[in-house]
Amino acid sequence: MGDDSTADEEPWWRAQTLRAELARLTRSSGATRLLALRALGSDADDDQVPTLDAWVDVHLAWSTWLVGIAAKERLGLADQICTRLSPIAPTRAARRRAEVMMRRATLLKGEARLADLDHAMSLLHAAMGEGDDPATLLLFAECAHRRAPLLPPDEAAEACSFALAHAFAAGQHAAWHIASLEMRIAIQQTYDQLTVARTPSDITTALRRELADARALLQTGSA
Amino acid sequence: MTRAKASPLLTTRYGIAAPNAGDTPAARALQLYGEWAEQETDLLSGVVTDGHHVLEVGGDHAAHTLWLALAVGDTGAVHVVEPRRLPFQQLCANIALNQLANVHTHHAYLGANEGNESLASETTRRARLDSLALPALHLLKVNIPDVLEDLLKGAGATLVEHRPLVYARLGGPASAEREVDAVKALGYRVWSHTPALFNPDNHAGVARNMFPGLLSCNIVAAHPESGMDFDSLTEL
Repeated sequence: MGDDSTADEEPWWRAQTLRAELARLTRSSGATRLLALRALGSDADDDQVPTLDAWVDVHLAWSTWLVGIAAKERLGLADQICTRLSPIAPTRAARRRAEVMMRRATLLKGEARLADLDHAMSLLHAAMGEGDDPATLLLFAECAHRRAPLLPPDEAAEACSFALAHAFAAGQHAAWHIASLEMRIAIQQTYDQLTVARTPSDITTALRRELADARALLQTGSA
Repeated sequence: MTRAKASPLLTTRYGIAAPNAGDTPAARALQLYGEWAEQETDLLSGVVTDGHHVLEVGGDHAAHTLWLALAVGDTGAVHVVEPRRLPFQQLCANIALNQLANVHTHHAYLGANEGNESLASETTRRARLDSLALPALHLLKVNIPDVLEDLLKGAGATLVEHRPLVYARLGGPASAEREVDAVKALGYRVWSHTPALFNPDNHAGVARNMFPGLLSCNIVAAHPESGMDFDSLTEL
């Protein structure tokens, strides 16, 4: 490995280090975790896609451990990093900003929550482009699913259908099969609640069975 | 005068502490577990951040001050008001040992008006929280039971100006209702927080539980303007 390739890989290694440290400190108690998060340092000197992307992960995770305004301020920092990411990786930036919006929506209620989820949907459209990235497809599904309870019944059912289609598409990629099934079960349950006249769906039961099989296969590594 | 045999410094979760012969739960917990009421700081870790200004009433041997000083960082400040002389000296010792430049200690009792307060056969200066004229206040943490009502009477201007989060230990059955009502009367929403005194994951890794079945009866209160909401707790 030459010097140039080592220098090229430095942002990637820094990103992996940040994510590894984030995974480690996630297991700490709140007060200790806060100090460990502070010890991660600053994103000020980072300007490459891998590191900026990892910092979005840090701020998104950090926001989940905060309350109220503190959480919103942390998401504001994540959004600022998306702005820095945008000129060098616009598609990635759109997807990460959609995640920030989806997280911010959890802190809001009613119309404000729906507005943030709508914003996230438009960002995901921009992030999707012509490709079929499973991570983005699953985010699409999750975002649409979260919109459903905030919509009138007809629109909610439509949102669930949209979410199911995208979750199904994500599941066509083997690595995303289990995540896709988990999402489809959650969406199906929401859909079943919307259509109260019907008995609980057989589809949900079938999906649960398929999920159990997929998990068993993952554990044993054989069919 | 006899002097107690000197013990080595205690290594606690967030710094070092001078040993003390006190028999308070905080002193015993610091000695055995290297921490005190850790679940309180766990909750507060969701709201305290860099640059915040915090006021603690009651030093508790700086058990939480050490963490708060680190949590608010160099751009923040922690003020600790301790009315009792010996606990105040212990507090100052631990602040000095850890070289916490962002901590300010005050030897006073915070009440409804200025004057003198008799505590444990000694007289202490009584001051109003408003008289501290804090430039900012994000968290008011009251560690001493049964002082909240009196303290709030002298804190009206500060609370209106800064709308801090209030975290307080309740006095007990005789005063809890009045204390909660006093906080609500300021327009705050109030939630119950009842952490166990024993933390099985304590810093020293000690399995012995010297507080079996004991919970701390605390409240956390936020003004609607602050945007704080504790959905996981029971609102009072």
